[in-house]
Amino acid sequence: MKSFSVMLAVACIMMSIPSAGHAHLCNDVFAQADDNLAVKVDVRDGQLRIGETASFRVYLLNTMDRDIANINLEVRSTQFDSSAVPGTDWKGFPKLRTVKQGGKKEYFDITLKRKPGIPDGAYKIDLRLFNGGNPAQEFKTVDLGNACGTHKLKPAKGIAVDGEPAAAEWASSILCTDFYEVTAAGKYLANQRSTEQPRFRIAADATYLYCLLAFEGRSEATEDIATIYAAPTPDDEPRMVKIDRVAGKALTDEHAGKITVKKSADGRQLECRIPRALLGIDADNRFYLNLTRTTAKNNREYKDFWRGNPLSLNNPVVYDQFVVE
Amino acid sequence: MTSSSWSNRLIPTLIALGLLVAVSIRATGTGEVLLTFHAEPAPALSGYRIGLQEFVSPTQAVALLRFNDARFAVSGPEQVSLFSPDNTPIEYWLDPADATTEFGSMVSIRLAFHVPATIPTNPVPPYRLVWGPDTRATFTLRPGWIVDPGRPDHYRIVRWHDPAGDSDGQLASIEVIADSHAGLYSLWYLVPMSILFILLTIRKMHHGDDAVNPPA
Repeated sequence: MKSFSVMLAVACIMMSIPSAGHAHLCNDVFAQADDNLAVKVDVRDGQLRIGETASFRVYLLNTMDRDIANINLEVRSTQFDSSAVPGTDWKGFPKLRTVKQGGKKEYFDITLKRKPGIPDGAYKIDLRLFNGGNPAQEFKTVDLGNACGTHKLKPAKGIAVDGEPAAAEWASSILCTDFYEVTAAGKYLANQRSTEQPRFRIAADATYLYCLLAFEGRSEATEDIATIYAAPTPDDEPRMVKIDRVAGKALTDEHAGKITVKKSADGRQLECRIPRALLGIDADNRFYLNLTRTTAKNNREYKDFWRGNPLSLNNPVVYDQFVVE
Repeated sequence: MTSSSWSNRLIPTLIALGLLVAVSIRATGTGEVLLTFHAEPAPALSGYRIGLQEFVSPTQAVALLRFNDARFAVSGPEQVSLFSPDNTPIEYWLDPADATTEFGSMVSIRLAFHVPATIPTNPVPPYRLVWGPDTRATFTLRPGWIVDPGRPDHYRIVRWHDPAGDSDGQLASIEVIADSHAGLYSLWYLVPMSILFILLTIRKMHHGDDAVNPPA
């Protein structure tokens, strides 16, 4: 009788472990989602024009310390019927594997169909990410609003790359700031806003990408490098250009002579002109960019990210979309 | 109109337009953020000038803030104010050499002020930082002020958040334009091609075989 009681107790404990493990997994996943679940809505210009039907993709990239066991997406709209279908090469859906364990970028194909009798006009649709095993449990901390963001650039005019940036020259630029460091926060790695902020401005015309790179703090650094990552679409391999504030020039030999860099008199700003062809973003008026700042100081390296983290840095799915109008 | 009168009008117009654009990018706005206070290890102080410092009171700590919100742009520190939870202006100090400017506006500022040593991370009601042209600040310029990394317990690192930015991010909205003619836009190239085809046809009809076999 005693041995039966012990066996029963062991059996109960073993049965309870999977459910406990599952609950724990969900909590950890949701705690990390803010900084480690990248979402990108691939709608050109941030706006979708639809006759009767239209489709677009929503990309997901998991850089957490574990897989997301069950993730799903729904479209909420009263004007359109919709479907969200996982990509044909998404193996193991609804599990979203982390890139730390061999996972990759996955996507949903979203199709919208206008309901009968809906007149022409502008409408809003809402996207919602949730736990497929418990639809009430939403990935609330994922900033889906940012995922749809598009920066519209008026063509740059009159930017003289002379190390004397003027407000009028950079009037059409987009300010890229709010960089962050990836640091340990409790059990996980989390994004923490960098104390000393880069202020990188981006402008473009049909031929060139213009950057005004302003570096804050770390004046005694031996290297202070802005890296510009660029890709024509979220599916392409990014190309990069490194420009060092301390040296006042682009670093890679292959770019010598093709990139113009001028340092300001105070040494804190660089004006740069980069041929878009060099970055492979000259074929279309739409492209994707990311930026980092890497500083070497006192035998320590600091890295500030504009978008993404060390695991997603080379994946344009986390980059921001720019459209030259 | 002579060319000189043209240039007499054009140049001032261009200058005015340039100034307008310059003002639009330098425009200083108003804003408000809520402050949080964090006790952090000494490395968090590594960006500061260091030295030995005497503390006036064991019941007070020094709050350190590098404020560089993306929306922040003022003409000077006189447009930045701090308020305690009971809405009393707080005096702060700064070194103008620590400020960052862009196109003539101050876009980043490093400042310090006294807080109770027992201050919680998220005081309720919160401390506030307010900026804008209507703000009247109370501050002291202290060139070369220092922090003492040997006494990190006397410092609080200050961060901030936008009271309007604490929204729920569970939904993303996309604008969808329902347009019955949307399918036709992709055929835009047919228009110039048709015009070209028509022109070539007319040319062919007018010139006949001459175009193919020009007279010797």
